[in-house]
Amino acid sequence: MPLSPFIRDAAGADSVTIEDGALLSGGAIQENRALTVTIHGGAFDGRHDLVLRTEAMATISESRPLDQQFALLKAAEAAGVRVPRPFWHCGDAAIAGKPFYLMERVTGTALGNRIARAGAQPALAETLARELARIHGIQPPHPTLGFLGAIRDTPATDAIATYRAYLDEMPEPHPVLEWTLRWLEINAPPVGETVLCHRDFRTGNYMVDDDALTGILDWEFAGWGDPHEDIAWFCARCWRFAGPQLDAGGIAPRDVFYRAYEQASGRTIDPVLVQYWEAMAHVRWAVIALQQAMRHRSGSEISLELALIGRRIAEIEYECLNLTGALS
Amino acid sequence: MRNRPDARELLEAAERTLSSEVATDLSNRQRYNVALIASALGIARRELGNGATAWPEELAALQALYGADGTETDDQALHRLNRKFAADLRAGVYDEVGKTRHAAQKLLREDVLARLAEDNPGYVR
Repeated sequence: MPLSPFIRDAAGADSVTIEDGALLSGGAIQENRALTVTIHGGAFDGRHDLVLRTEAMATISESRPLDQQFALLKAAEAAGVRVPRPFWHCGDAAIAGKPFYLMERVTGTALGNRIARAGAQPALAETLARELARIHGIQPPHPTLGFLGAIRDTPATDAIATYRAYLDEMPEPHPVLEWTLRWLEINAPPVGETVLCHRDFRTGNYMVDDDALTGILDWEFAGWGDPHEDIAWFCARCWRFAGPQLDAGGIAPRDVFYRAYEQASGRTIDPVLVQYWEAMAHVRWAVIALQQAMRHRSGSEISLELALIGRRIAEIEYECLNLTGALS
Repeated sequence: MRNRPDARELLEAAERTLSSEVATDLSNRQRYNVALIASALGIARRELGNGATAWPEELAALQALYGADGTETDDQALHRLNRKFAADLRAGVYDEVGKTRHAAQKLLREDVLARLAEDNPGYVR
């Protein structure tokens, strides 16, 4: 297996043995394979449970390439964020069939419904709020994150332009999303503080083992933006799974999360801005859902799961109308 | 004349068998698949009970905003008028508070609620 010599050289080891594990779930976009690697000699001597991450065939438009994900993980790790420890990135497709990186395999579950079904977990919500504050402590200019594009106009108007462009690629019109985007355009806030936004920080994208946070996953959408965007994404109705009455990710009341974030970051959360970004969050999820359904409809990836995402648009649009005051 | 049960009744029975009997002794992975299948059957069943759109008044509401064109089929009209409506919303045609904005808002609301009743009837409590 050509992977062993790669790891041996990267780790400065004498020898490496690899036990190949199963494909891990939760990779709608990425493909994750479990590997157990035993390294003899060098700084990494010992047995490591790792994940080998490659790009799945169909990617959605916003997703960042692997080398950038790896750099983001490195930057987050350096900032003290609880992430799966990144080991090595390899852009050479000859080693494992396609480019990949290796990271620590953190334990536990990321399944949103399972986590939210456990009921209120204020301590977990507070931990997550402090982690988010750490992520938002990363600000431009940054020595290793130069690839993150600069904000063109404002975070809000940039997002509006992006989602309109995606809607223009769809075969059907979407009046509710257009209504919401127009509302977002009229109410767009000026540029505030610019921080590293994770852009998929929500229940379902962090691992929990025995009620404790083990790692924040899925960095492929990260970029510079307004901190309220991540707070709104975490609290949005569409990411509360089995706990819709618990605003903060289905695991805690909103004020528990807010208070811990404010304490850790020194920022004051503006609830009007959170509501604004929650409307944006639902437009974004709707656009992603349309793209996911398209993967099935186009025949590029036949899947009942992807097909059904296309019929979740109505509930997302219901939230859009609610947040823009159009329901009454 | 067809024999009973009809399509809707059959789909309903299939959903019930899947959810309450098949699903009970399956692995997690297969239980998830069964839930997906039951969900798809339910949406299809509710959609079959309705006409061309989830909200029967959708075309009339769009024509009230834009007028009718007798030469197209209902399907063509729905597509064309929704496209026009979407473009106008983006262009700010409905920004001004008043009767047309009110009509547009009602259209959006009724349409979403009707689609929700097909796709996820338990969503709004």
